[in-house]
Amino acid sequence: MTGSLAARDLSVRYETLHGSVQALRHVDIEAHPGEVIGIVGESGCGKSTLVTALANLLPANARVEGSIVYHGVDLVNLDAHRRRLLRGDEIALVSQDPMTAFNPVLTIGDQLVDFQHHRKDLDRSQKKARIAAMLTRVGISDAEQRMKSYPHELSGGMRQRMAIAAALLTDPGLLIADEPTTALDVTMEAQIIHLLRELRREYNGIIIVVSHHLGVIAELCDRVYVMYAGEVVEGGEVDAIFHDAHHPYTRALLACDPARFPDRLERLPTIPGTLPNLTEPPAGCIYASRCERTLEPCRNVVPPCVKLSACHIARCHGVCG
Amino acid sequence: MTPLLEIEELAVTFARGGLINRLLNPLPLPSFNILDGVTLSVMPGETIGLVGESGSGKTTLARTILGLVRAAAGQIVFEGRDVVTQADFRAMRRKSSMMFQDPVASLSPRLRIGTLLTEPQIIQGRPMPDRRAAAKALLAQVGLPASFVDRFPHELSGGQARRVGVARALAMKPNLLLADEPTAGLDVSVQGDVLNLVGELQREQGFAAMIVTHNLAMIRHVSDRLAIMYLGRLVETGPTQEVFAAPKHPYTATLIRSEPVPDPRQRSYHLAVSGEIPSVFRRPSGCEFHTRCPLVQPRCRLEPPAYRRAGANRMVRCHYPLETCDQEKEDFARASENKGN
Repeated sequence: MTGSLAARDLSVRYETLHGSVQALRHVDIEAHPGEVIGIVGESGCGKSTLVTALANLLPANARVEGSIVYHGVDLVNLDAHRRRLLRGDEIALVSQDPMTAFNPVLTIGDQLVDFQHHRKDLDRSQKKARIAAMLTRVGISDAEQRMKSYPHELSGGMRQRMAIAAALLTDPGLLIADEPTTALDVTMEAQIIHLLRELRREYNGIIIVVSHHLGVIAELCDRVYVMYAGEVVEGGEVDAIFHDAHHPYTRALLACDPARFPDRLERLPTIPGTLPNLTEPPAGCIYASRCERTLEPCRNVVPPCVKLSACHIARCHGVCG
Repeated sequence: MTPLLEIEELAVTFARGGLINRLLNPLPLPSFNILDGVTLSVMPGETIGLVGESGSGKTTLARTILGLVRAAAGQIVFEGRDVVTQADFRAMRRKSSMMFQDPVASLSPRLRIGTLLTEPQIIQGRPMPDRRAAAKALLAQVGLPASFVDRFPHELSGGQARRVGVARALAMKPNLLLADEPTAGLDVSVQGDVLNLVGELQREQGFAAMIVTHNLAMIRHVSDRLAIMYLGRLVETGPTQEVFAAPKHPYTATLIRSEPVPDPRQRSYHLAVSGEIPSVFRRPSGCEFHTRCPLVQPRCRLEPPAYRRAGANRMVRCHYPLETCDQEKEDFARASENKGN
């Protein structure tokens, strides 16, 4: 079962002792089956909050406004029981550190059987057969043997393959990979990127890849949303974001990545300033205090969402559609 | 010019098994080489990048240099003097310092920043008339406000904690700075900040730096020389620009090619290397990279290659070092085609 995903005017606040933190503000994103969507931004930009909101895993002190419509169902106003049904069946999450995703005292095989608890039509041996096939699919040799191991007996790369296999076993319509390669070495990172790229050919749901690593996003995604301090500041096709970025933050972020410069730089580029306080976000543009080309309205007026092409948008006073 | 630090044939071994294992097996168990035959020199004022995957022994090497891990064999010479006894190491540590991997965890949570910054001088018995003023001067040096002297480590952001780490490491005006993953976990915009700061202070004070990292994109901008490690051995050393332009060891080449390029028009569909770094507990025979090397030859499986000179300033541990950049590309393309068939 596959369907489109759309978040409209999504805002999330966390009620804390120090006031309410506006972690996400008026986020609009959409994704269609077969697409790989990238969400990129630095720490504190709200990408994890967005992902947890999509997976319906926000903590109790979170207040959600707006809508997340998946397959015609609004996830925000869903009751707890139906939410839970969706999570294991339709929405799957691959987390940054697969060690914490698995139970340390059960074998991988047992856990992968449990992950398929929605498939009431299969018995245990059929589920095991599915696991063996899936493990081979994600590049794990001697699958039968590996099913008997415990999570700590596997290397980081192997665990991440297992986590991807676990997610795919539930036949999800929406697969969310939250920093899937951050904990891995570069050679293993390349292999996981390769694997995800191969898998997407036969998988026709939505894949959302969250990362702070521009290289990973460029290698994997079709469309990208760039986030800053809880807002989507720019969105568009991957080529447009990397080669025709309009928002000053996207440009600054791209300019900071040392991987883009083959020759030695005497000084590495940086973005001066710090993130605004999200308990009292500024009245105007969220990036105004660090922007290098502030205009008259930037400090007081919230910038409009400018449509630059069919799917390229930027939230900035300085760009014209 | 004499090198600031010379390491020769350094080896570190760890004993196998825990206490119970040793009680059950009275015979001495074989120990494991974590580092083996590491020969490296650092010139005054230069920056050397120590690169490798996790488990390659790069952190162990940095810790062994400072005497935090005991070497089983080999020689460390600092400023022309042999470093052997604990007293020698203490003397050396007065002139060298380390930035640890986790900036917040390396600061004691119960001490204020001011105390943490001046602690090294107190321990080393340097006279300090006004401790607070000294701390403020150090904070100013790394671009933090003087009010930070009264803060606790948990009140700092990741980037600020790194700056405190830099200030603390440089408080003793060292001749050698060892930085273990100085930018791990930092955003790209902040990473540049920390490295620019270290670079500026290095130009001012002239210390040599050894940066331990697995981040190739970063290290190519901040280091003069590179040392690549694999399973506790150096496999290649050379000037950074040359190594990136024409790597000689196939492992170096695969590392460089594995790095994702932040440009969707340059997606790479060839996998440079498959498999994982083997465990030091089961070292492969012959050349230790042969299990993953795309250009492996029969000789590589049997005979361990020597660490030898390959051109001016370059060293490589490979039977068949790559000659030129073009040759490397051809060979890799052929190797991945063969795998596809």
